[in-house]
Amino acid sequence: MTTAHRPTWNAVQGGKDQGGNRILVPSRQYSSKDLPGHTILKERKKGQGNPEELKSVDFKAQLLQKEKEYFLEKSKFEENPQSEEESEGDIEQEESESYENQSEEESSEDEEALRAEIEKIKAERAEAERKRKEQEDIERQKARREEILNGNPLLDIAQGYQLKRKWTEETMFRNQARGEPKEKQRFINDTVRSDLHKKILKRYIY
Amino acid sequence: MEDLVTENLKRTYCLFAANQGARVKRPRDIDILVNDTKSRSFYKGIPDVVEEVIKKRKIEEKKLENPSYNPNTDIDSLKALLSRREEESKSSQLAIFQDKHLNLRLKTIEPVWHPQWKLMRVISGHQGWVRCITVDPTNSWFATGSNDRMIKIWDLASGQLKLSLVGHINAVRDLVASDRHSYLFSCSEDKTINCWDLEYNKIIRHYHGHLNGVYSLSIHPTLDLLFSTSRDCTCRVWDIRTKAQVMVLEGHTGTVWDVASQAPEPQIITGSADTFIKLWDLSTGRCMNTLTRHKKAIRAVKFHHEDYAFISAAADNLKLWKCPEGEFLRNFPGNGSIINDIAINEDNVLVTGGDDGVLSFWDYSSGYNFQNIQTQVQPGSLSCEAGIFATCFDRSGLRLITAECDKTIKIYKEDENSSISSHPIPPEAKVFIKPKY
Repeated sequence: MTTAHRPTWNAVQGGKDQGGNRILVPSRQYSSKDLPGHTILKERKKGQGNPEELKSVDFKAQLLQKEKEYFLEKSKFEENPQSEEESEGDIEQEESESYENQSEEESSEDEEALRAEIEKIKAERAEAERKRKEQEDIERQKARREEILNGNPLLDIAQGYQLKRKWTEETMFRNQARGEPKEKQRFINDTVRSDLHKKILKRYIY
Repeated sequence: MEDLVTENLKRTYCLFAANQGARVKRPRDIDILVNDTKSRSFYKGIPDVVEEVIKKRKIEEKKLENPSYNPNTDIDSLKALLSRREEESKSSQLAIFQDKHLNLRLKTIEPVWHPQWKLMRVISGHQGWVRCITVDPTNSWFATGSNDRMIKIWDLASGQLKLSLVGHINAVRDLVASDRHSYLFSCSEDKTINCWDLEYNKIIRHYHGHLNGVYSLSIHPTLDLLFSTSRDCTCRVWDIRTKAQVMVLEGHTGTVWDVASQAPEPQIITGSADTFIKLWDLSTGRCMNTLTRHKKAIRAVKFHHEDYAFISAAADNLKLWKCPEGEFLRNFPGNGSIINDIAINEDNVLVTGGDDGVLSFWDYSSGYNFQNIQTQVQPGSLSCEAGIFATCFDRSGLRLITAECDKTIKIYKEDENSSISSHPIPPEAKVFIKPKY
């Protein structure tokens, strides 16, 4: 049996003679980590934050400048979508206004011709609309007739008197969670107490 | 002119050559005067007490002889009483005068006003307690070590995660970014100390030897030495380049919580859970001095950047010590909470981070505690998770970074709206220092 389960009342104390540091017979074993390697210390060169270089740096101004830049960028990112939409709308409005102004000026000359043209177009459009509606009516009637004839599955012998719907589609099985209060999404700052963890435990362990 | 000067020099030489090296004689009268005033101020009340006792005894004796004796009728005693009262009033006046005189001689320190600090940013990203912070010498990033075994590097200006370093197998307890080398040193409760190469973001050296979790690291400002303190009650000195252990400084009987190194003297300072501060001589590897004034475990030791002094923090008090011999200078009265870390910036704002989540701001020059902030835990944490493990100023001293128990890193800044009129210094914050005889 190990002592791993026991509490550590007295932590191990180090010293010159402990932890294998007392050399009775020099050891021939070396950890690979203790082998010589990286035998040169890397000094900070120019551009890497050399102490000489940093003597002349005004850290306060530098930091404030950087933060300003960051916040400016952030505010741009947040505000941009709105501002773009607004500006686009404005441009459209302006365009339409200018167009109207122009048309008024020109209309004085060939007003009559234009009016006739507009009337003609209007009439054409009304005709097309009427035709489309008639067509739709006919189609609707047809569909209704079809449904009345074939809609009742009990009368449809080809289907063998069987309902197409599955039993799970019964209303009592449907949307049972509709009325339930929605669980609020929340963050718990502990992996063990978090909702996700509890859900997993409930599903797979308990 | 030259002749005159040389003649003058010669004369003075003749006059004082005989006295050279002799001690300056103090007139005897001054000594007597000093002793007199001292004894008078010390034993001022005692003669009265003695007289009273003698009188009481006399009265009792008389009572024994004659039971019907009433002391109030005794004219002699009345006269004595009157005279004594007069004397008392005189002496009290004298005492007041002396006190005033003393007050004039007291050295006063006016607290310096500092702006208030306020929370600026909360950074969450670690999965465990955040235990330590270090700021890059170029002031562009800072690194935090956490109980989730990770070291994370964040951008200082934006607070965004730049990098996560994985390599430790237990809580990372301290981090140090070297000023001179492009290295980051980290130590951990898994008994290891690692050296990260910041050009490749890889571990390139291991310092092997501690028998228990390593709690604190420090780099010598000028020599290539690394100091580490540990739960195994030792402080170890490492050669950074060869990974060899140069010294083991043993002597503490508890976890050594913190170590501070300095350039002017070959000396390091360790603070320990056994309530002692030890000053170690690096040339001999021995303890130079043990400071025993603290009553509680010392979790933080910090050098001041200008004064040749250091501050130690324990749950009872902050104490200021003079270097290099460790002479006690002053107390900063604490509020009783365990203090995990200290930070000082160049405006002499001293910050202590408490284990109960209280961030205290002090004026270093006077020891006046001008602000206390109770940190708010991030939503979803327990209220008991308010605790500050490490505090650190960035290189400019404008931002204060704290590592907290609710797994967040918080950044504080000075409040521009605070002024001396909105947050005045109370008159009682003035500090009097008694003159030393």
